[in-house]
Amino acid sequence: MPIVWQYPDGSILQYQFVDVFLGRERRDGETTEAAVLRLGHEHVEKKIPGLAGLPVQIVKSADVPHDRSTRHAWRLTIADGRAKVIVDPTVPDPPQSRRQQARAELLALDPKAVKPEDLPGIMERLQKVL
Amino acid sequence: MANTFTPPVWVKAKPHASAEKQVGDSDPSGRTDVINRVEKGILANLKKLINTIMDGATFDFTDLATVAALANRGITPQGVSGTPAQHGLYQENVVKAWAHVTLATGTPSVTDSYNVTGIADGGVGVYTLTWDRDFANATYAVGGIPVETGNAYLCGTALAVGTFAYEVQLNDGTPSDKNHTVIAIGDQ
Repeated sequence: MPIVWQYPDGSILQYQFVDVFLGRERRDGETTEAAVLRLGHEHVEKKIPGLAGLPVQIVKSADVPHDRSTRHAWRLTIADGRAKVIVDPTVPDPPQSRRQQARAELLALDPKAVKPEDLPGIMERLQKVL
Repeated sequence: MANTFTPPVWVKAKPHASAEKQVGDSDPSGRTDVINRVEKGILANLKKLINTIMDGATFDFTDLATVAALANRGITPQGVSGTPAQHGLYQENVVKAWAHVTLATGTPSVTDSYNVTGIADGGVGVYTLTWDRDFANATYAVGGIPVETGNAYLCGTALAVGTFAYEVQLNDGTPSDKNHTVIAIGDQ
């Protein structure tokens, strides 16, 4: 069961406890959700700087996208009364993704099909990728 | 003829002046007494062994809970002094933490570990492990490798006493999600 903090820019940090630690630290009668939230404050926020005071929610694993290629666009939201991580389509791709995309396009070029007049443009794109 | 077994009826022994049970007292076979003596022998040897391990410190062995607690204490070796002995085990060379991290779902997971409380996911290939028992300083050593095919490596981004932040990167420096392992050694 991940616990998710939301940064002011909307991006998120999710944290997953080790089962052994969670089982050991859980108090008598405490639910898993309550234990994760308590340990999130008492343990994780003390260890990782910048988390204390940020909005935090417990999210079920099923409510976290499985496709991590969109990880940069993950945002925390409340839907149907429970917290979920969704993909925000309005978030632009990170620079690395554009770079990777440009690199893939260049690698996909057929050298035999490249005309001499295309070379300056290709060189320019190559310089951006490198 | 059917086999029949009649369990022996043992009665509580009468206390002797020495408060010791005697052979054949109320158990004609003498088995109770033998068991008692073996138990005493095991406990005496256990005391010697644990006292040796615990560097001469004395403990109360009168109840099993104490013994059980001691059995789970672990062995704490001494710090190294001078040239390390061949194959020597010292505080400085004990592995303090390790983790096997997998990315089967949207949430990175510590599949197996020691002294790790959990993992933070800061983005694709961007992780932070949190330690259960912290290190004494931020000058410990960490090693790690991706356990998937492909050219990638682990790159530490921040060492703190309670956490290790790092990235798994492809050879071109792009962060990438890959299953990986981490191991840490240092002062605690």
